[in-house]
Amino acid sequence: MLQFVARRLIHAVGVLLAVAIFTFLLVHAAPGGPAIMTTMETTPDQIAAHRARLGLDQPLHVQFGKWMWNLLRGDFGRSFNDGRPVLAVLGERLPVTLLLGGAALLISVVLALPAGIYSATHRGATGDHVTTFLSFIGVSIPSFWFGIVLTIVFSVQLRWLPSSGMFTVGAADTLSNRIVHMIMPVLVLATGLLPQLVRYARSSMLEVLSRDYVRTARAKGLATSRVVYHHALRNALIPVVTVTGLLLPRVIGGAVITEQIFGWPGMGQLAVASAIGRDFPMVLGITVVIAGVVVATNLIVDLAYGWLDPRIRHD
Amino acid sequence: MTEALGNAAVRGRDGKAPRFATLAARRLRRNRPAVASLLFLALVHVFAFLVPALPGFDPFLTDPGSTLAAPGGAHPLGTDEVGRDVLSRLIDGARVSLVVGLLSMALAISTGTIIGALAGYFGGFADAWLMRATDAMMALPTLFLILAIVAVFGGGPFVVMAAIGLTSWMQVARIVRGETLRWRVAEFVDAARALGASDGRIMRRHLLPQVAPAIIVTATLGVAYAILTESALSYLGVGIRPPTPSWGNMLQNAQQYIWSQPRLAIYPGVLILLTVLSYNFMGDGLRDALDPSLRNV
Repeated sequence: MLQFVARRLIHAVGVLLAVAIFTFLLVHAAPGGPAIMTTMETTPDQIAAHRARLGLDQPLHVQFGKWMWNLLRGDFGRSFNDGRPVLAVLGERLPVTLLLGGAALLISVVLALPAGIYSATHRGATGDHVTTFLSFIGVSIPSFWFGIVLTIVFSVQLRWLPSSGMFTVGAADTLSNRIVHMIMPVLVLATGLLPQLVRYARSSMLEVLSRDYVRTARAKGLATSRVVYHHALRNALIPVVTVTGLLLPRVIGGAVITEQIFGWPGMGQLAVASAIGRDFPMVLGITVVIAGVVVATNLIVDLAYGWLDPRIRHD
Repeated sequence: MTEALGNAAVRGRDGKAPRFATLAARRLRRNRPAVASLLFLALVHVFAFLVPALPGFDPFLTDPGSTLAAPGGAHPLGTDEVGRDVLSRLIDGARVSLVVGLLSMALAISTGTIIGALAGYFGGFADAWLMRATDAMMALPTLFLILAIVAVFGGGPFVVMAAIGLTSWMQVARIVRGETLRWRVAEFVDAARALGASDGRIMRRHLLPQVAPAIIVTATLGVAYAILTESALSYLGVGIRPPTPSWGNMLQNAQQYIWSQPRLAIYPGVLILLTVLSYNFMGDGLRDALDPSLRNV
């Protein structure tokens, strides 16, 4: 187990290092070079002076070492937009995104598992076909358009749900007010995640149902529900844990779009605004932090997987 | 069914065993969603690439006298906020979205195929590192990478295409690697090597054809992904920039008018949904047709 943990840990550090190198090179490839990272001054003289002050005339590997050292100390630079430290801004935005993403992931898992089990146990039935068809729609529907359509129906026509924000400005900050604001964003985000989870739950369940121990359980004369829920489900759930972890990049990527549609003040909205405004320190800080969150989560999922299923530890 | 009848059903009219492609086409024809998708896609592509060449086609022509006009008359789908014909813009937007989608898919497929083939064929050290890089890329939220790339290099069709292509090759690389691993130990590869064929020749002439069906399927699904991603980027305002129309930026624009003109937001979305859905159905149909053993996986 120790060796397994060590191997995963090294892999995680490697991925983070790769991301750091990638973002570093990306900035150096930017028209105008990394000088534009820290100054908005644009005349040649100013830039030359700035380059010398920043040590940009030094060899690339020296610069990279310095940059890495700053990252490790948590110094991501300051935003061009308001001059605040990047890390402080991200500290405010990240939890807001995680709330949205966490809720969507939870709803997706809660809905996908029964759907997948149903599809697997009723293979070829109408319900299975309907589930498959809906999954196709789910992967193909542009989430931003789905969000707009929901807004047209529930905000414009029916006036049931608020069209944007986390809570009503000026109104009392109640839990129900927050929940009402979360319904549409969570629904839109979950729609993008559901199909893959359903598909995975279905194929995982189908595979387990064809195993010998399931046949034995059936042969013993056990009720179908007992075979499905007691013998098969537990084993079918193990791979679903992994795929839930693997979905995280999609959750966060999806949050970018969802936050934009519904004016949800999270990391995604910030990323888009920073990309449009060419706020380099912010964009790169977000990329590194998001990569860190994803890598850390994958590490936890990997370890959980190894703990749940001893077979994995010895590959 | 008797043996003779079975043979008659499998063999063509000239008595020869049908080619693989013929069999695959036969299987594809029986898949109704795939056939419907193919027809729809043919229609969309013909419209997108031929209509803009017609004289008098102008998606930028403004008609100040009729802004936000209702459908009918000279404007079958109405006009937008500056009086441009919505149908013309949808068709020109289709061209932009399809070109970006197809080209980024081509880039992703080439990158993925090269990396996957090298990893699978040479194995060992190359395989370990290439696949580690692939896994690392796969674990990252690609949309953020794309945003970083777009922030540095600016938007526009070319950057968007490159950004999508260079962040979506991982699946292809894994599939190609798997198939290459499977086929490189085949006897015909040994035979080719015994005849003195170089590594490059073996990969191109002997392995690639074996991997082709898997690549075709992934490519079809890849177009769906690329179109969806391009439209998302354009919707976010970092992809194709106005005035050049794309389905994504038309939607971004239409969102301002959902309280008064919700129909403007409906058309581009329906087109994206149907096109992406068709590519997905096609990909699924092709998978069944090209490799029946993958059915229900």
